[in-house]
Amino acid sequence: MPEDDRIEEIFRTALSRKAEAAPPERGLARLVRTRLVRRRRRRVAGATVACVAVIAGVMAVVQGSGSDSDRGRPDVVQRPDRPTTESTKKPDNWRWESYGGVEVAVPRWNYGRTGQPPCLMTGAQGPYVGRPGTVETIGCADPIPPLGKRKPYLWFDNPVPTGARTYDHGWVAETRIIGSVPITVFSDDAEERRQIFETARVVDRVDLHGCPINHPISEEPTRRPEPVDGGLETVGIVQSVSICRYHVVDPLSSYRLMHPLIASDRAGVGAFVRTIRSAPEGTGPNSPEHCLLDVAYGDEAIVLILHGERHDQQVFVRYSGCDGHGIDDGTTQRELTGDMLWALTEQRGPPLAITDSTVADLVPIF
Amino acid sequence: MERVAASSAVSAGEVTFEEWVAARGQSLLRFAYLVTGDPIAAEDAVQEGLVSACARWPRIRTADDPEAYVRRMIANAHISWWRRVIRRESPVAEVRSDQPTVDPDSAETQAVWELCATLPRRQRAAVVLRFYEGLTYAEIGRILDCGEATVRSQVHRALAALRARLESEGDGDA
Repeated sequence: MPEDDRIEEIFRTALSRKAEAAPPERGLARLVRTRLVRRRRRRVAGATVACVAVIAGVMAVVQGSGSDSDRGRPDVVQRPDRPTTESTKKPDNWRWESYGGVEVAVPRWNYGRTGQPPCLMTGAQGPYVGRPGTVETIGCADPIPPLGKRKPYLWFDNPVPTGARTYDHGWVAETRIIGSVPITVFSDDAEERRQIFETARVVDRVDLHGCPINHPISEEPTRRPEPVDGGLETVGIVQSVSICRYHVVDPLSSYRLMHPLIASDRAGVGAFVRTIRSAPEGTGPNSPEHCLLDVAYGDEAIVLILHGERHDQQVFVRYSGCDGHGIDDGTTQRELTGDMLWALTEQRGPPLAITDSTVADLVPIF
Repeated sequence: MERVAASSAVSAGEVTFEEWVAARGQSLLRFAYLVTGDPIAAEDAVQEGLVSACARWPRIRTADDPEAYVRRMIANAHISWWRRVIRRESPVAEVRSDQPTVDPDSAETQAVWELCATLPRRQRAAVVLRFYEGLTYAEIGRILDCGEATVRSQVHRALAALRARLESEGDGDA
């Protein structure tokens, strides 16, 4: 038998043998129907998740607001109306978190990942808000960390049954469905837990950070922003930036969830805008040969909504696929730079997927 | 033979989604297991692929090859980022065996399995489609949405890698 044929035969034999270890078919059609129904319910409920973050307008110069004439344009988002309930429901020193079309107020906790295995918790991290992201798959002996390393958390989209699970020393993990998003709060403070859930609410159209819960970039990965009166160059002094992180939908998937970024209220809008403008014109870095066409534009993207003194302007930042990377205000396309990624990262937590090779190349610390 | 019969029935547009899944589900799970290397990820990928198929079933069941359509969805469900997020997984350097094995694998089988674990997902899918499903390069290209030459190159690189691995192990044994 020629060598190539022998190697091919080894492949065939080995794969056939390993296929015998596949899981058995157990009510597969029923499970699929259940999953489909649950997803449709989620979609109908407007659960398309939005994520957001705002660099709150801390610019010293605040002059006027976005032009009213911009408000009807496709990629110009009106500033959100603040829900009247905000001040009454949220303790003063808490902040709003948004995910999946719901908002919930939390104390000044850190950021993390939903599903973080408890045995990997170092104890150094304080309480945190977790969103779905890549975490290590590892089996832990206990469902929660040992007492000395326990920290409260709020997890968005944690797929566990609703209800309260009690542990020693008063620790409780309670899961509720808000809108269609499961939210789990783990804490030993029953009052704090109650207060958190009391603030939870479904977002109507645009969340408190100025991010629409749905954005066309999710459905149309190659979309470009609508250039408004010259794009970024004519926006004037930028008062604030909403950083809206969306899941770019796999066209073959039924998922329509968007992936939220983190909210931020730190200063630095001017520097942020300068970082965008300093990126060289062009696109990339791209490596389209490394991706299927379906996923070439990656799994997520960020829409920056710059609230300028002359008009609002959306800027798309793509970084998670193999192609189409860069910064685009609809008028000028710029290359994705490490400085840009740093600027985004500095706004809060670990906002970018650490598995993205482009991100890793540009910002080696990832 | 089983696949041909099921596909023919589907092409006739007479098979319900449940009937088709009952006939083809185990085959899809085997395919997904080989592509993912993990039983849980396999079940998830198959369910995810079938969710998409279920939603489009009236159209899919009249397609020329509905099974290829679903395999494509399964492969892409695993390749795409969202699967990584949902499974909350990270690449690992070593393959952990999650299932008890009644009969120990031969050295060659083990070498193939370990090699598959090191392949990029798309390349691994190409290898499975080629050597387990027995598809042509053109058919694989349509499923993975890439050119026939790309598939051929990926498969040949995998063959070369296995050959090198086996030779290396042979040298080590010598």
